[in-house]
Amino acid sequence: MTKRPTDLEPGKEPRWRGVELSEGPAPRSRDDSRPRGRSRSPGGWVIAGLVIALLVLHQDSWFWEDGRLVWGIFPVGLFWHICLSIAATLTWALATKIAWPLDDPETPEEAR
Amino acid sequence: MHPGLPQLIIILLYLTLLLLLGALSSRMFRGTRLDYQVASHSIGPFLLLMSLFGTTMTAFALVGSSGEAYRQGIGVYGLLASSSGIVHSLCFFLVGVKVWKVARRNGYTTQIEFFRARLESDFVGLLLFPILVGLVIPYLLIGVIGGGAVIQGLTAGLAPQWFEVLGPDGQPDPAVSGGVPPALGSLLICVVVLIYVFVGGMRGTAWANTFQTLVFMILGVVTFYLIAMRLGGQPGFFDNLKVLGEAMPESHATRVEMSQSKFMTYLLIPLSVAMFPHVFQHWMTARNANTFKAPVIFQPLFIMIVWVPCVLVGAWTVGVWADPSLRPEGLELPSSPNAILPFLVATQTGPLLGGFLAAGILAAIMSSLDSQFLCLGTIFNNDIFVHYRGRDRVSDRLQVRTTRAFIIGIVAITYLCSLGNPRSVFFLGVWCFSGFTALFPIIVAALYWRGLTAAGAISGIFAAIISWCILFYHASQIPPEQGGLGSLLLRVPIGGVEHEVMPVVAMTLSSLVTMVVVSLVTPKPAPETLAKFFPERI
Repeated sequence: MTKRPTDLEPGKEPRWRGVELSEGPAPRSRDDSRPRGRSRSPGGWVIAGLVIALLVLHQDSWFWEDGRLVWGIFPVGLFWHICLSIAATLTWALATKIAWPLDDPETPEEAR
Repeated sequence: MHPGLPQLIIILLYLTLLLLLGALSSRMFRGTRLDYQVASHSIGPFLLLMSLFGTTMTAFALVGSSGEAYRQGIGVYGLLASSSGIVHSLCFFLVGVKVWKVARRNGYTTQIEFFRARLESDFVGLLLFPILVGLVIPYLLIGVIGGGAVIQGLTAGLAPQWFEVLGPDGQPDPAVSGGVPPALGSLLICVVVLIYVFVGGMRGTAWANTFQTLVFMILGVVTFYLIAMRLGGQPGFFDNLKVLGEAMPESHATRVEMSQSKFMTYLLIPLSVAMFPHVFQHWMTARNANTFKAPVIFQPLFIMIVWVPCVLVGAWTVGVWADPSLRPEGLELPSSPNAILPFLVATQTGPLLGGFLAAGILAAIMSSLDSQFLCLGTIFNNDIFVHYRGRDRVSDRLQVRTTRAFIIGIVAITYLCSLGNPRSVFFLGVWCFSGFTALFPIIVAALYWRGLTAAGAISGIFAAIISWCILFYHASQIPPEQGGLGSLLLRVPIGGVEHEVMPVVAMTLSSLVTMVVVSLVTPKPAPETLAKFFPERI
């Protein structure tokens, strides 16, 4: 059985938002021009805002006593939370595009 | 066909399939400790998604969700499911990816290894070890006891002479009499999980979890379709949904009887996932950081796919049995809400689906049990045996053997405890989760705050566990007829109005405040240690 290559094997150190993880002087990466710190891109703030919005919208007091049916099937309170689940999926999908915290170099398997 | 026999055959076939899967995965075993405990960090996005989802969803997702919706209405979806969808992904994103990075770079497999190194404290490991084990064991018991009860209920009538169960009136109870006894069913589950975890380690666990997650997701949707088609009495699926929706009583189509402040504070409970030791170990299996993208994205969607059908079925049942034109003749609903879904399957579908549903429920149970057994074996080996004996003195082969030996011991202890049939463990679920949530500030601070000190973390852990014990004691004083352990709520007066608040708020706040205050006045870890955990700040 051949050993699967992983990105943390020697020579395959991942970068944390563009910063090399290995100890000692790191070679300049393609992302070294970015300012270092926790909030380098607006993506993180966008996702933080969306997640806070999801958590606020989760407390839907406006539908608390509303028993109307959406399409004659779903009580509106349930429908709202189904929409929240879908919105959460879309938010996290966006997070992987604009605010993913760790850039991996591709493993040979992924590159194929 | 003989009652209960088709169900038993399907259950046995399903368990055999799991054993085959375990045997297959063992052929890929490389013989090393890392391969056994974390599958050599080789798990890709699909397997990580399915195994994490399967691990976080217990039998409660199928049986408990429909039972709670039957009791409280559609509000349970927001209370337990949509909140988990948002918060679980948040934990994977904020904690999982960063923990993976730090732990992979420094070679940690368990939470305790991580905390010992981050805080430069051996004591923090000794403190966390009994807490983590103590919080996982009731969770294990719930699965083992629940599995035995499910097998008994769905094989009822199989052998009335051998396995007779009398009801309160002294007559055989048709819901369970003749079914495989819980002690035998629980033993069967323990042995099957033990075998595939023993031979396959984490790879076998991940494969089995993936298979089982697919099983319970597909069976949940199929069950929903068949029950809707029977209960509605209409020819078309959507016509049935409309009839059943209109039959739902106002109390169950709204949340008029649910406290808004309880609903809000329940949001803290899913944070527990960030401190589950078995979830930590699954994170460590990821091939690379991008592997986390699938669980982060799809966890809310998968929760929705499993929970919405179950919640609807539970809420519909109330309306159907209240409406004489819909109510199936001669059928009385079971007294226990958790028996609603098995009852509907047994009465509204055939024995074949009953067998498949039993397999689905067992899948949900076992996909959590396997990870928990493996994780406890791993932390016993890594954090106690190897840590105190010395890594240099213990070969990889010996570590695999020790992990396996511990797993056998834990399975045996869990099974023996389950024989006492302590029904009160079912109420411990929310208390286990609350305990893990109370430790959430510690993991976040360890990852994001250089100022966290060993004294701060240890004080925070003590604050969490002391507040947990105090509140648990108060809950244990509530008689079962008044709701028992699960019914304790704190009452906070704000603006002259009392708001009901979950006990987890007090535990988490006490842990957070203590941790911060003590960390601010105690010495920080050495710069070399901080450099290992915060390389981006160098």
